[in-house]
Order: sequence, then structure tokens, then C-alpha cells
Amino acid sequence: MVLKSVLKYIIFFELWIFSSSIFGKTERYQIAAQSTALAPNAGGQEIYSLKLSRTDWEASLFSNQSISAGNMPYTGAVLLKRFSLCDESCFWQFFVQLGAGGSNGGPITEMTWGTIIPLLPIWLPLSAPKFVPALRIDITTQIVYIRWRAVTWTYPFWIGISVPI
Amino acid sequence: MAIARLKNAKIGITPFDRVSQTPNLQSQPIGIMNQANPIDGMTNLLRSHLPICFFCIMYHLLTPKEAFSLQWTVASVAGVMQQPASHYYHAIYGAQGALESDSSRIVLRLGAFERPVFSNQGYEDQDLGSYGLVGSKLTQSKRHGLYAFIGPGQIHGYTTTTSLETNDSRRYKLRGSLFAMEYQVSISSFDLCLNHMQFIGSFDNDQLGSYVAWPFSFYLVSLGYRWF
Repeated sequence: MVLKSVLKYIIFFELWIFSSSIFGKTERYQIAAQSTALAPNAGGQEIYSLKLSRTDWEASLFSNQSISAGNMPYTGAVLLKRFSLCDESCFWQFFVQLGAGGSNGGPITEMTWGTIIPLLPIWLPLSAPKFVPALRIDITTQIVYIRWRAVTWTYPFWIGISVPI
Repeated sequence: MAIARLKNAKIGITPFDRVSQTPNLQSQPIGIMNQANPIDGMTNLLRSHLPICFFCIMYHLLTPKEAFSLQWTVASVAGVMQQPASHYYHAIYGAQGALESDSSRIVLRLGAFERPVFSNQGYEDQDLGSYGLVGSKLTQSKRHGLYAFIGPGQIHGYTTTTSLETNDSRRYKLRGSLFAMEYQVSISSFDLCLNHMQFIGSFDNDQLGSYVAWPFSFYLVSLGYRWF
């Protein structure tokens, strides 16, 4: 009885995803939240970000709790141009992004190699289904311009969740 | 010690001082960082997804959408490399060769580089690396454009200290993945490229459980010649 209910739920859920993939617009906004990146030190980097993106751009706010600029966590905002290898019309997305912005450490430029991976155990080679969270992994490099120095800070495997809306 | 916590490292007049040392990759006690590992599932997820990731990229790139013809490119490379947890830029040089479809939809590239031997008062060190990349052009212009690459790589090196008291030699070898983006301008048969790569050394469950990875950053300029 319980199994039957669960199966019914799964079938309805997959049908809903399938229909949203077919009838939903393929160009859509995506919201991503990330909290952790790996680092050469044990414990990684506690870095929070909130990102809003469209097919060819992304706006990003971040705050890195693991390093400080002055007496504040290293915090900034970046506007990026996105170049997609496979955009949101794909179920699995790949892209690179180039952008610039500001932070309390100084002006920054950012380069990101990113992917958004579906978490559901289904394969829909159509488009990213709306409202269904996906795993987002960024490989990001930031160059912080501090006085006359350009300091590179890397975020290998910056992990978070992306939701198409 | 390269494993110094980043916490409280300062961005300011002397930024990141606490982590500005060249890491000794061989002697990192990463294994002992093993703790209750809440992200084993994440490890498995990444491991199970990576082959599919490569398959998807290859499927996307190799799906025939054009008449297929090939070009060869050879290039010399020079630039700087930054080691994990270091904020020094080391000069490197190398060479690479590429096989590219006519519209640059797919590019296969092999390359190698080395950091010149540093030698001073009995101390000597060097890093070398090699990589294979698969990539694609992301923009439409014929004469210039942005490329994205992904592929496996390897970095190895040594340090040697020779004096009356010590005679110590250490080597390391790190395999991992490379993620690259490149802006290329073509003038006649010559290609001028600005390249940024990030190499991430492969990690085991203990390292991932401790959120540890070894990123090397590269900023490169290459000049290549193309045969049609």
C-alpha cells in the first residue's frame, strides 16, 4: 500500500518534471546558493554566495568567512558575462564566466568554469526542469587588486545548489 | 606550513601573509585530518557523475553538425604559475600541440611545461607538468574568440638540499584535473592566446572529508602556428 503510494508520487513527480521541461521556457532565470569551497588547508573555505543568472550573464554576491579584509570578512559583488558550452536548454549545463566587480579587499576580476548537474536519477535530454534543485560546482579564480599587487584567490570545487525559476 | 588555516589571514597591506609559503606537497599530513565524514555521499556523487560529465561533453562536441576537417597547431607557452597556498608567481615555459576541427567546435590539446630550476646555496627545486585537454570555442567570430577546456593533468617536482649537515631530496607527483579558458586571436596562420588554467590535484575521501584540494593557477601567453 505504502509502496503503491510512493510509486504514484514518483510517477506524478516525473510527469510534472517532464511536462515542465517540454512546455517551460528554456531560457530562464536561475538562482544559486553556495556555501563551501575546497582549499589547500583542512576545513576548506566557508564562502557564501547568492547568484542570479540568465543565459548570458550572472550577478553574484559573495562573502568569504575564511579570510578578512580589514576587520571584515572578504565580501564583494561581481557581474559576469557567461559563455555556455551547453546552456539551460541542456539538462546538464557547462559554462565559463568572465567578470569584474568590487570587494572590501579592492577591485576584483573573476574567472569561473562551472557546471550545473542534475541530481535526480532520471535522464531528460531536454532542458533543466523548473524549480528542481541541481548541484552547482564552480572552479573559480578571483584576482584581487590590492594597491599595486594582483593577488590570486582560488575556489576549487565551490559547491552549492542551483534552482531554475 | 602550507596547511595553515586561512582563518584570520588578512587582506591589506601584506595580504595573505599567513599562507604565503610554498607547500611541501609530499609531507602534508592530510590523512590524519580524517574526521567523521558527512560528505561521503558527495564523494560518491562526484565520482559517479564525473565519467558521465566527460561523456556529455564529448557527446555534445562530437555530435556532427558540420563538415569535419582538421587543423594542426603548435605553440610555445610562457607565463606564471601559482602553487597551492602560495601567493608567489613563478615563471614557467612550455610547448603545446593541438588538433582542431575546422570551426573549432572541438579542440584536442597536449602540452607540457616546466618551472626553471631554482638553485641557491645547496638548495634546488623545480616543477614540471603535462596535460591533455579537450575543449570547444564558445563564441562565433572566425578570427578571435573564447575557448573552454577540461582534461587530465599531472604536476611533479622535487626539492634537494645539499650541505655538510644534510643531504635531503624529496619528490612529489600530483595527478588531477585541469579547467581552462582561453582567449585567442588569429592573424594569418598565427594564433596569439591568453590563457587561464586551474589545476586541481585529485583528492581521496579523507581529503574531501576535510574539504582539502590542491589548486595550481596558471596565467599563460602562447604563440602558435596553424596548418590548415
